[in-house]
This record gives sequence, C-alpha cells and structure tokens, in this order.
Amino acid sequence: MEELITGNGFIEKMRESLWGNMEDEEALRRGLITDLDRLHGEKAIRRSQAARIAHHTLLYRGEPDEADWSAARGLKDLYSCSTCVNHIAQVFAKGIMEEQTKGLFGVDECITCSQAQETIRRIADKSFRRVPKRSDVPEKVRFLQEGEAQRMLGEDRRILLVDVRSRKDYAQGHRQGSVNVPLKDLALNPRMICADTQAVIFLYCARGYQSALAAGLLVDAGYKNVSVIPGLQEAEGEYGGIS
Amino acid sequence: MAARRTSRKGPEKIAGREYGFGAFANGKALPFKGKGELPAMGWNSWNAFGSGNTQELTKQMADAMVRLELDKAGYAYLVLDDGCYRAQRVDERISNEEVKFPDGFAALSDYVHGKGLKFGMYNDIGTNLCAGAAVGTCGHEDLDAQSYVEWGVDFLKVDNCYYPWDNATFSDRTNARYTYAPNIRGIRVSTGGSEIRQSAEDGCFRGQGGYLHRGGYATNIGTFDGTNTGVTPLGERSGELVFAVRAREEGTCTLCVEYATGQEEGVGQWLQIAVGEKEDEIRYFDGFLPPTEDPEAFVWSEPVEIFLKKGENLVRLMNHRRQENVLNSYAALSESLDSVKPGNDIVLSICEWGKTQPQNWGYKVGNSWRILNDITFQVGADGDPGRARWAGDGTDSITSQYNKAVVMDEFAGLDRGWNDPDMLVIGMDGISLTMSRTHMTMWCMMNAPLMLGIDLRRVEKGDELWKIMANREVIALNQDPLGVQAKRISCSLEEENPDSVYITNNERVDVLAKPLADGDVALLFVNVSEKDWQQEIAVDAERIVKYIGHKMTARDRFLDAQVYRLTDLWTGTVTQERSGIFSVWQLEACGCAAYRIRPS
Repeated sequence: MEELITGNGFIEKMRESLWGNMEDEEALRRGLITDLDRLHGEKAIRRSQAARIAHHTLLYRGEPDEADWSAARGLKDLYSCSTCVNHIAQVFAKGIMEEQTKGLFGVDECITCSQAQETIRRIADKSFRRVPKRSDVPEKVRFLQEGEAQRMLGEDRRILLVDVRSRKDYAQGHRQGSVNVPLKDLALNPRMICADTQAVIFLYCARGYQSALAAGLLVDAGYKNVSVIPGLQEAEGEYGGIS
Repeated sequence: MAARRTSRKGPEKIAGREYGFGAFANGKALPFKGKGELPAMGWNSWNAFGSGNTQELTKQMADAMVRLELDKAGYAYLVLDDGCYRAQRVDERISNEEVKFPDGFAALSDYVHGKGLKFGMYNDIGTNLCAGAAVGTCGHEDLDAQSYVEWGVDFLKVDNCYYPWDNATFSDRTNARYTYAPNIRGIRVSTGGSEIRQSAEDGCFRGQGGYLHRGGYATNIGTFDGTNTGVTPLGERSGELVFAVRAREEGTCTLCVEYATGQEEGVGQWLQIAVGEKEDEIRYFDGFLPPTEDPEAFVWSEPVEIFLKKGENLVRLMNHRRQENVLNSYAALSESLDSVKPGNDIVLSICEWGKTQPQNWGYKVGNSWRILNDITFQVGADGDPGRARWAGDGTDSITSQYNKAVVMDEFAGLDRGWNDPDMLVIGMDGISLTMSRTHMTMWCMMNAPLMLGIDLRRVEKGDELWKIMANREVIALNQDPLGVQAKRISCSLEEENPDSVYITNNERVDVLAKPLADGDVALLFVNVSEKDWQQEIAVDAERIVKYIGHKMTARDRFLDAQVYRLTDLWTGTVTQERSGIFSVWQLEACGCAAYRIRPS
C-alpha cells in the first residue's frame, strides 16, 4: 500500500516546487498555510486541508477563481465544511483534485505521495488537469409500473413516497406510508421535498398528470432520482393497499 | 448567576423547565439576557478577508469606519471573525495567533475602543472553530467568558462547527443518534396484573415530521434541520408520537417501548419519554436506548417507571434534544459572561445557521439568530473582493436568505431579538449596484443585523457604494424605535397568505410594509426575479392596515387620511397620494422602490 503524505510533507513539496522555497513565516502571512497546518504537520494530510493549500497556491500564482464552479455542486460532501466549500469547489472545477468516489470529494480522506505529486503537477501545468465535464443532458424522470414500484418500495426503506394531490384528497385515502406534498406547494418551493438531492423519490397522484408535473419541477430543482408511479385511479385494478 | 462549563462527555441533563422544549413558546427570556436592543450594526471581517484577516487590516478598517463616518451612520461594532486564534489553547485559555495578531486582543480592543467603536469576537459552541482551531468553547465556557471580559469584548458571534451532540458542520454524521428518536413500533404499559399494548398506528403524530413508515413503525421523530432552503421556518418544526393511555386508578406502572435505533437523519438512538405537557409535563426518560442491529431490527426496551393519573394520560415519545442541547450550550456561555460581568450588555449573535430552528428558542439567550447556512462561500481576501450571487439553489445567495427571513417577522421583536439572514455582500463581485441597493433595503426592512463585509479601503465618502451603505433614511427603518420587522403583505405568486407561505420561486414581486414609531409606514416593492417587471404593482391603505394595523401606532389616522406624503428613500423625491393606493408601474430586474409614507 502506498505511503500517505503528511501535512509537513505536502507543504515541503509545495514550498520546493511552487512557492520558491518561501519561509514558513511568510507563507503564514500570505495565507498559504495556517497555524493549524504547522501544529499537526506530522499527521497525514486530509483532502480538505490539501484543497485549501492548493487553492491558496493557485491564487498566489495569480490564477483567478472559476466564476462557474457548478460542476462541484454534485459533490455530496461539498457543504460538510462551510469554510472549505470554495477551496474544494475551485480545485474540483479546475480539474486539480478529482472526486475520491462517485459524488464524493472525500473531505476527510488522506492522500498518497504520488497523488500529492500529481496535484502539484496540475497546479503548475494546466495540460495535466482533468476538468470535469458538465452534464448538459437533463436528468430524466422514470415511469414505473405498479409491480416494479411495489418491489422497490419493499426492498429499500429509504425511498420517499409522495402523494402530490391536495390535502383534501389525501385525507380521503392515500397509499400507505406516503407523505402529502401538494403540487401547489411544490411549485412555490420545490426543495421542501427533502434536503438530499440524491434521494430516491416516488411521486403519485390520481391519474398521472399532477405527478408528471411535479416530477418536472423536482428535476429542475436538481433532484437526481425522481420516479413517477401509477396514480390511484390507474392502479386501482392492481393494488388494494390504500389506507 | 454562576459561571459553568458544559460537558464534553455527553449531553447534559436539562437544567430546568425553563430550558426545555415546553418553555419555548412562553416568551420568557432567561434572567441573564439583556433587554430591548435594536439590531446590531457594524463591520465583520469574514466576507471581506476570510481567514486572511490580520491585526493591521483590522486597525485600518477601524480607521476607515471613522473616516467614512459610518460610525455616525450607526455602524458601531467591529467584529473579528474566525482566523485570529492560536490553533490550540495555552493553559486551557484561548489566545491570539502570533504572526497575524502579534499584539494580542486586549491591545486591539483598546485601539478599536479608542476610535469610539465597539469590539466583537467570534467563537463556537463545539470543540473546534470552523477553520479547525481547537479553541471551541465547549467545556470551557467559564474560562472563555473571563478572557472575553478581560479583553473588553462587546459582541460575540458564536456558531456550531464541531458540535458534539448534533451532525453539525464537521461533526460526525453519526451524531444524528443524539437528535432523533429511534423508530418505534409500539408500547406496552403494565400495572400489577394488567397490560395495555398500543402499536405505532394507535398513536398520534403531534407537530410535524414524524410519520408512519409503510413498514408499520413511527419514524422521523425529532426536529427538522433548518440550515437548508427546503424547510419552511413556520409551524411546528418537530414531531412527537403521542399515545392516549387510560388508567382506571392513579398509580405507578411500567412502560416498555418496542424500538430500533439508527445514526442518521430521521432515526437516532436518543429517546425522551414524558407524561403530560407544558407545565404538567414530567419526563421519565431522557437518554440513549441500547443500540439495535439496524433501524428495522426491533426490540423491547427495559421497563421505565411512570406515574399515571386516573383517566386519560398523554404519553409522549419524542426527542427535542437538537434544540435543547444547543440552547443549553449558548446559555452556559451567556451565564458565564453574566457571572464574570453582571448586567453586561455583550451582544450574543447566535450563528448555528438555523440548524436547530433557533427562531423558537433563540430569544431566551441571544440577540439574533442566523436562519440559514452562509450567504456566500467565496469570501474575499486582501486585494480580492470575493463573490456573491443574487439567486441560487443553495443558501449562498441574497434571495435564498431573503426568501426565508421575509416570512419570519413574527419571531422578531424588541423583547425577543432578530432574525439574521447573514452579513451584507455589498461590494462583492457578481453584485450590481441595483442588487446592493435592494439587498440593503430588504435587510433594513427586515430588522436584520447590518454587518458590512467589504474592504473599506475601497470605499470613498460619497461614492456609489458609500451612498448605499450610509443611506440614513433606509438605516432609520432598521433602527426605528418601534422595533417591528416588516411583513410581506402582497406577493404576485400567493394571494391568500402572502405573509406566511414560504416561497423560493423567484419569479415574482413582493410588497413589504413596516410600521414605524412616529405613525409612518415604510413600504417596499421588490422585484425578486432577474427580469424586468413591466406590470403595475399596487397595494392600498386598507390592505396595509389589514396586515399590520394591530402593530401601528396611528392606525386610524393612516386609514382615514385624505392625503399621504410619500418620500422615495433612494431618490429623495417627495410626492403626494390622495387615492390611498400606492403603486409602482415597473421594476427593473432585482430592483426595488422604497417609500416612507406619512398620513396627513
């Protein structure tokens, strides 16, 4: 297994390759490193810390921030630290540090010596960067049959089942275990559905029209896993599980 | 009031009824809290310089606040945000980072006071500050209070990174086990020979959020996380599972709960069991249940002894610790400050980003409460203005903050405190002068704290940015002695309840009305969208009185007036209106029109 690089080791490489052998005190003053980096320098550096140092190095070298860092918004752990959002967003959008696993930057993960070397290479030379492609294809809504929907609901307890009809209709009978978020409310505030844009969401209504509209709203608001399942009047033949 | 420190080992026992969920709605602040202050105004280093702030820059900002006569305009506090502390405590005490703040905080405080300004600092109720320094006040509130009083601190901004009892920023995600109740399948109440069983379906969900999962159990019992833009701040922000249990005679019995634990948002490990509510509530259990294999592997708990009255009893299964723990932490700091300096007027700016719905309890301990995560994540540095946006999906935009604060007016007030939609982003890249003007007016109407975040060396007295931040007429709305936050009385997307429906769809115009101490009313027309609005927007005196009449000091005079004198707060133009209808014909993208209306 390859050796992990420490904070001190990372800073040394930066100092030699990119900071012109700058002394610590000047590096502190310029904000390239902080007091904390020096204090715990013998520990393996975390990716969020490396992102911060790398970002400040880019600014020191006169490279401005990307105005459009929207490619980073898909990272699930982007906001896990408010002071590092911009550092992670910039190194990701510029293709200097990639996601650790799909959809995760890996803020608390460590870095190997060769990964550190690659990061430095990419800061110095743009041709080595792996700028992420932005997907211009809109997320598609899936339309599920009753049987498939039931099977998935039985297998994954985390699926959010949503009835988009009015409160009055919902009160008269709805699928067991569903929550009621009327389409009218969703139109005013699509993000009320849930905080996690990766959550698996199943929508239904009476005949399929409202749920299709609701699905469109959610996809526009950035939800990635939206499905429409048969409305109550469509499913009546197949499914008796209304409460 | 005694100084105290919170434990780092686990959440503490709730100090008393006044610190518990049942007391949130009673409107009573805790005894040490200062009274009746208008929203704080000042300058904060974070948006301007981020962690790159230095002693030298801070002194230059103090000089600039005086040079630009911002102090005369009302900007009083100069606040050092994160990035100024040494990374570790020395003899348990917090101290200055020595390269950027070589002379220490007492000297800097003296300098700021010498300029006639007040001095503010920053800390955190968790173990570490957001940028990582291990100087969070958790477990050290008594000592830190001493340090802050020694340094002559007048203002403290305190956020909640690394908070041990919630899955707050940088905290362990599994801390959700503290803030949610386990999944519950049913209860069993036994007395002597008899036993009553009720399943989750027999229970009733109080509040919101909790629901019956299709697997036949109650889930999501806890408090909504409010740091994101999806959640309305209004209504019950937490849920409970409540059972009506009938006892033939009064007496002690045992209660067992069929439960399954988890460590994620929606299903945790901490349960509160109470019988009765509000002043009659008695809590019999408030802690962890032994963990189960997974959130659907149900087991029965050990019996808990409870006392039931004859007749119907309300047995409540709940978890309000998300709110109660954080209130306790802020209270520990505030009580410690009061113990070191009794009767102090140190402003406490609660900054847990709305995570624990502080609009419900913040008034008990603090002067203002942040309502969301940050307004921008691209803060500036020496030579870099930073970046901000008008609109966006996340919390990082002017309208994201505005959209939430605008429906929260009923939580604010002189005897409570203020909603805080974060600091001003005037002067950052991406924000035009029009946006800055609207942003400033919105914040003033909403009684938000006004904290500038611009490098003041870029500003000259009389220039465009200065004219916005120093507009006395608009600031006068924010500092009006009546202390009432504006109400949204009209919205192009919502006919029935413009004041209370939470809307994040920006394709609209809003009209806000604010009653003022001298009987005037301030009216603000806002185009929230990024397209020019070409239709008339109108409200009449009747509508204004319908929504804010009960808060006005001269309601009848306003309603019956024959003539109204309107002063445009940005152009200074004065006009007269006889019809009692106030309208604008068009508004540019992100633009506004603001008037002070005086009835004759």
